[in-house]
Amino acid sequence: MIGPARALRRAGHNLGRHRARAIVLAGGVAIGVAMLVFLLAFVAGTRRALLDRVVSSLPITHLTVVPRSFSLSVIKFESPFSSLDPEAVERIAGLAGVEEVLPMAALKLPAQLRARFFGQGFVTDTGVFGIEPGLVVDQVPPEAGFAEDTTATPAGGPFPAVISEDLIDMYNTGFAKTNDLPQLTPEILSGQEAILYLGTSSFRPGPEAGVRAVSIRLIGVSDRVPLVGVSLPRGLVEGWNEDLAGEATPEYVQLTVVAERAQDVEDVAAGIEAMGYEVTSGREIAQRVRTLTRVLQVAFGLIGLVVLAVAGVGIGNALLLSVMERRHEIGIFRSVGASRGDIRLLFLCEAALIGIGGALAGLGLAAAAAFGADRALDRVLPDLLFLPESFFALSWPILVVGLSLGLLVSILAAVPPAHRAARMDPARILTSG
Amino acid sequence: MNISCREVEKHFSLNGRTVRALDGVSCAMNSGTLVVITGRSGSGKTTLLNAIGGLDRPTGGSVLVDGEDLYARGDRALSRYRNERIGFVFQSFHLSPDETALENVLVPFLFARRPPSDARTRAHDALGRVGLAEQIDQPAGTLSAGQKQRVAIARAIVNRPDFVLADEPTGNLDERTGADIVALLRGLAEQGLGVVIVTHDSAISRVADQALRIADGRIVEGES
Ligand SMILES: Nc1ncnc2c1ncn2[C@@H]1O[C@H](COP(=O)(O)OP(=O)(O)O)[C@@H](O)[C@H]1O
Ligand SMILES: [Mg+2]
Repeated sequence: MIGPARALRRAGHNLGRHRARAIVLAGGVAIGVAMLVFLLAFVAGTRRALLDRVVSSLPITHLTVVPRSFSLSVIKFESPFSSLDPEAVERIAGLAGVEEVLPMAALKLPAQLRARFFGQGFVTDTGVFGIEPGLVVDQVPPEAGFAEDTTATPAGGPFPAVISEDLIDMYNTGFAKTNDLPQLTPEILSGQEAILYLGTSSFRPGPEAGVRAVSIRLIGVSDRVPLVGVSLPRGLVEGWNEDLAGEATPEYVQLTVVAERAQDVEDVAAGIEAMGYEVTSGREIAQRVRTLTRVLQVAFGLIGLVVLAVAGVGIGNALLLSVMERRHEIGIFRSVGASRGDIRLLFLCEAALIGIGGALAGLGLAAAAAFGADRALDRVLPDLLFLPESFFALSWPILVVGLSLGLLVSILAAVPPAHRAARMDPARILTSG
Repeated sequence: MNISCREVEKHFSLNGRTVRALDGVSCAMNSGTLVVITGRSGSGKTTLLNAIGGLDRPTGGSVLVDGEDLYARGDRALSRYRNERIGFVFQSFHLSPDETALENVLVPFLFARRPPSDARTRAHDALGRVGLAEQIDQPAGTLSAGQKQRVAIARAIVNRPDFVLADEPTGNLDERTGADIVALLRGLAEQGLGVVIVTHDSAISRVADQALRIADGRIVEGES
């Protein structure tokens, strides 16, 4: 009786004697495992990047609330019963599990922005939004002055402003390329001053006299503010709406509701929906990302499994051939006291070692391929701020899945040849010359 | 140890015909004796030796080892019997040519229930006993035919069996080398082992303690 320890040692010895064959077989496993792990790590990495992005722009405790609208192709009706006014904010803030409600206002007038970058001036129409400091508190340094009371600032500014991260990406990959302008970074932008003309735009030039010019200073970027425009402290925008557009009670374009705990999000969302608003939660988007990537993972996993199965068939055939080649050795082993079980174990151990060796090589191969792919993508893809460091997540579970599948496939493939070897008649082998 | 055959039969069916390789063989052999079984090619010598050695299950009759039916037991027990109590020697040596003499001799310990801690010493001793102390680390494939058969004998005795079963041990050797091998086996019997040589060479029976003759699967001479 040989026992697993001696069988493994002997199997290693046998593989050493037939090194070339062992390497070819392990290579098949390695390619299968590498493919499987590479694809799974890619999906996992993409998921991580997407989730990072979702969680950053809409943390799982956050909900965005907008008025419910009915869309009839081109015409969009906003429900008159679901306007977002201070009273609605109060009602929502009163719901159980709500920590904070952060309203967002929009300037009711057209506006234009005049700025100078790199010695060149340009003018653009822009949206102007009023946001709560709490919305960007973790993305814009508080010392930049966003949270400060702007009533103390002279009426002409400069007022602190935040712009969207995506806007910089859009500028860098589009406008800057076509106009041959240098690339912008949040660092270059921060501290830049610009002039905002309230009450005029290229579509609707305002009367010279009614246009008010204020200066703003960029203090940071965020992925939670509207894409097309600049975001300023809410009180400021509401004041302009009152002064220049005669708006008595503010009407918000969007609320960001912060739940006390992540598990409250669903109840809070249901409560707000019951009031007649449209709710989007970070949790929901994250859920959608997870579902989608799970489907991808299964699909890619199947591809890897097919490759592994092919490798398995190869191992099975090669081992069958090797059983025939080594029938004399099998006969000798039986004559000196190997049982059928011992012979079976020996062949299974050889397959297991091939499987482990191949799978480990496959993991290394996958890691190398992921590294290479990241560098290639880095060169090919534009420099977008939201792109992740790596598109691959070689997590422990994926490594374990790769290793155990490589091992499992090898052992399964070796079952028929091992059985064949065990069933050989030693008397016949040893007398046939 | 005593091995007795009682009406042992081994029938093969070959292309619908029944080949009676052993057709009711009865015989007995004991440790410390050299038994030589002679017979023409195809008379059933190898089949009988394999039946005695626990390598080939007879289709009828029984093989008794110290009075116990050998084939009443399963594959595990038969394997253990081959490992601990029997050593086989074959006409074509059956060594692994790319492994050294020592490695070849160590193979039985691979399947020993409890491999002795002094396995290598024992293998050295066994090679010494067959006169190959000098060739221990030589690949078996590079040895002469006579040396190969000595390695095979060393492998057969390394686990201290009760019987050595040799199937045409001189069949691939020249006359002088063959005689040396027979003398070596004879020596083992004198040291207390049971040695069974089956051969078509009736001259070898001259050194036997017990000579049997087999023809068409039956003992025709020297039946006990
Ligand atoms: N596996 C087998 N299948 C069919 N016939 C066999 C088999 N093994 C041996 N025989 C037949 O049994 C007879 C005895 O064979 P064997 O014991 O090898 O004879 P010997 O060793 O005396 O030459 C021969 O006729 C041989 O052809
Ligand atoms: Mg024969």
